[in-house]
Amino acid sequence: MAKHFGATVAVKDVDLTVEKGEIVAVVGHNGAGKSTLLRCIGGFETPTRGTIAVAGIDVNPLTVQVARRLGLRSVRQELSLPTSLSAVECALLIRGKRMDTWQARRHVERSIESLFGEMFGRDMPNPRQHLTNWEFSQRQLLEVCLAFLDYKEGCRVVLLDEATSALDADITERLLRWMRGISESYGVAVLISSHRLHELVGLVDRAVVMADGLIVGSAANENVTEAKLVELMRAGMVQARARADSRVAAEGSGGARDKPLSVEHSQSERRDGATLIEVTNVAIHPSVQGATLRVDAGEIVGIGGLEGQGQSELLRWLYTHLGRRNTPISRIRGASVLRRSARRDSSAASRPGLVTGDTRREGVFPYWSVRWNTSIKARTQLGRLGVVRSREERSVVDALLGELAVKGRPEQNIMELSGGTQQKVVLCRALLDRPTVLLLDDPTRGIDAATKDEIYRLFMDLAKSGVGLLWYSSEISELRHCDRVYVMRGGYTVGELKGGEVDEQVLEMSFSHA
Amino acid sequence: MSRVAERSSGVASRIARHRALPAVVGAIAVWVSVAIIGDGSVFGTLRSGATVGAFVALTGLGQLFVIAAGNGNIDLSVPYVLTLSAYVASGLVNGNNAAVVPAALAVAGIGALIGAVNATLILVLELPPIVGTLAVGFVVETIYLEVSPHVQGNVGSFVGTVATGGVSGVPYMAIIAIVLAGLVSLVLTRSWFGRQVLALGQSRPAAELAGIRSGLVTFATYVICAVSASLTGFLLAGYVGGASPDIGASYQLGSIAVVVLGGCLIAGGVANAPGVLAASLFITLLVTLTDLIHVSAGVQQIIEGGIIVLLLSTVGKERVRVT
Repeated sequence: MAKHFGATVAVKDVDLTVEKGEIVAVVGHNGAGKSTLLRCIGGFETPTRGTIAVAGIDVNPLTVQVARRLGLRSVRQELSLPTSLSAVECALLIRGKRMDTWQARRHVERSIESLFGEMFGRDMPNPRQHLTNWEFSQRQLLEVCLAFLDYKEGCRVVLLDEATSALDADITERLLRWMRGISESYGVAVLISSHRLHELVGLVDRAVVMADGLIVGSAANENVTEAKLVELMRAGMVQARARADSRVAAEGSGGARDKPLSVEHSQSERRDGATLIEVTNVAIHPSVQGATLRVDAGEIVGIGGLEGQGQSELLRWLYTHLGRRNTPISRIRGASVLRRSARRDSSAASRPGLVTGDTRREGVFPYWSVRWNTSIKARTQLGRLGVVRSREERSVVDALLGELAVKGRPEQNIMELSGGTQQKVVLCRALLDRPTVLLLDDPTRGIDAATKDEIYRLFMDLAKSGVGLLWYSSEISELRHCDRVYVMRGGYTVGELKGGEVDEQVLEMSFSHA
Repeated sequence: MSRVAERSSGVASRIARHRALPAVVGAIAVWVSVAIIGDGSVFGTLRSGATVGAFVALTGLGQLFVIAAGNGNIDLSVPYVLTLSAYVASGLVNGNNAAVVPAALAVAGIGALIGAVNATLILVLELPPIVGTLAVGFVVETIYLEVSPHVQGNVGSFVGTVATGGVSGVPYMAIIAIVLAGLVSLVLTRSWFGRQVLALGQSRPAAELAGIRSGLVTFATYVICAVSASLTGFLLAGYVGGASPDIGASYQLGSIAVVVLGGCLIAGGVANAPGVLAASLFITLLVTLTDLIHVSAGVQQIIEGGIIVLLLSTVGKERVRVT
């Protein structure tokens, strides 16, 4: 099976069989294709190529309703239960049966309550209460519970797509043991995608490792260990890189991937040593538990790790806190934050710039031209008494757009440009007021390769001119362009690596359970 | 061949894609229809339509800021603010022309206060704008119902002349509306505040990341809307010759309708001040037209509604290029 999203290939070519009563784990680093695979099986996406067969019969088209009828139940990381309903009402909604009698409702209520207790070892909150009153973690437990509600009858396969990510380790362990039990007794198969490898050990029949849209290996029974899985991922990553390199060589494009740009970069003299960001043991509720990092002027510092480990939250926090003038040493939850401006002589406090990867939602202003999209942040340079200085806007903005080789005319509507170009515009916006430190939240997500290379070069140039960059990337290979790389896991910075070919170390640090 | 032809086709297509075009075409069409069917003078119709329409336009220009800021923002307290101001103005001026300026300041101040209350309910208490502004509106209604029996007097001859008179056939109100629309247009395109409002309406996350203080900007829009409603109420009292509890009725949906018909997006982010003018004229003349064809009030409303829906369906969702 394969799944393409336009030019992006999420799943390249996957063959997978799940037997009755098997518990199969799908693991891999960011962007490996695990979620896409599970979404295709659950009927949320249609494969671009290939077939999905349930109980021996090819199903086409496999929609969500068809999947449910065939006994496939999906639980995803984002909660999907409507919060204005109660647990009982949700259960009835899912089953699609009309339960007018109070006996039937009582029956469902009792089933959910007992199942909940069985699965998680604790009491459920009031099933007649609206879900808005429940905590997030309780709602997640309920979703998993409801997926298994008819495990004795119609349920065949339960697909858990990172569904346990927010749950405590002891609950997850108990859940997995329970699932072990019922799959042996009732033949329910489970396909679980998770990055918490240690939970899977000893509880799954088979673990399948994905990388770069392919299945690169698997392990069964007692061979399912954290070390083995990380090793398979590593091998997969190496193969992926080899494939990419040979593709580049075949195309003869010469420029981009000859050598990691960071090698070029580290050879140049750009450090003037001023520390722009230094945080020690910062905690930001609820996602960052303890982050320690430092960024000096002229450095490109990367942050790696699996998605959702607190990287974005840290960057946004830095963005709001570094911007405040004369931030003194402040104590935040027992941590200390120290900011020293690189330019002690400038009257304006050194401002950070932030660029996010979610261009569509947090980047572009869709009704505006490229020019207006770029200038929106530059009020101090381009405004006088609240009025926009149009001529200045035109010259300054157009010059910057030209410098960064942004395709398209400045007066063109931004939505007419490609995603990569839009992102470059957002970058221009951040650069217009000359930030001294640039915070990048996965900025090259979903962008075409050529534009990515342009952006990497831009980062190099910025670093050469003394800007400090703090760059979170969900794609390991990008971190090769950095001078130093921190890896975040579970809200902590778990390691600092010197720049260069750090792919495999980042991979290991993303997973290992210290 | 090429250059002149290209340029004119450029201009022509830009006009065709302009968001205010349907309202302008609609206004012209209705005006022509009225001129044909009615027996009054062609320009007389236009004059009265422009005068009455100007009041809606003024409230619409204020509402435009609130709607342009997007995120569900809307001000349903407009008719109540307008009515309260009519009473307050009548009482304060009491026929004395010298009192007009202080009264206007007081009325504007009341408007600003009400706008601030609206904004506070929405930003601090996080009430949905529809609920918050309507609630404030009802409170304002209670106030003026209490106040009204005690108010005598009118807003004086000066304001009366402004509201009803004109120069060389052009009503003063129309001039005021046109000038204000021009001002609003300038603010939206050339001032940072205007950019911030439109940015907020297009994407709040992007606007906040770009350093825009969304709370302050939203607050300002509600104040602008309420102040414009209150000053319109002042002028309306001059037109009508006094204040009454129901003079604001048609401005509830009217102020919103002219914003949307004029080419602004109800979701925010796109605003068109000239369109508000054209739409005000259109709506006013439409009522005149349906009056002329002597159908029952119910059928009148159906026809009006149908034409408005027709108009709205032609205001497409093309990209707006603002340079």
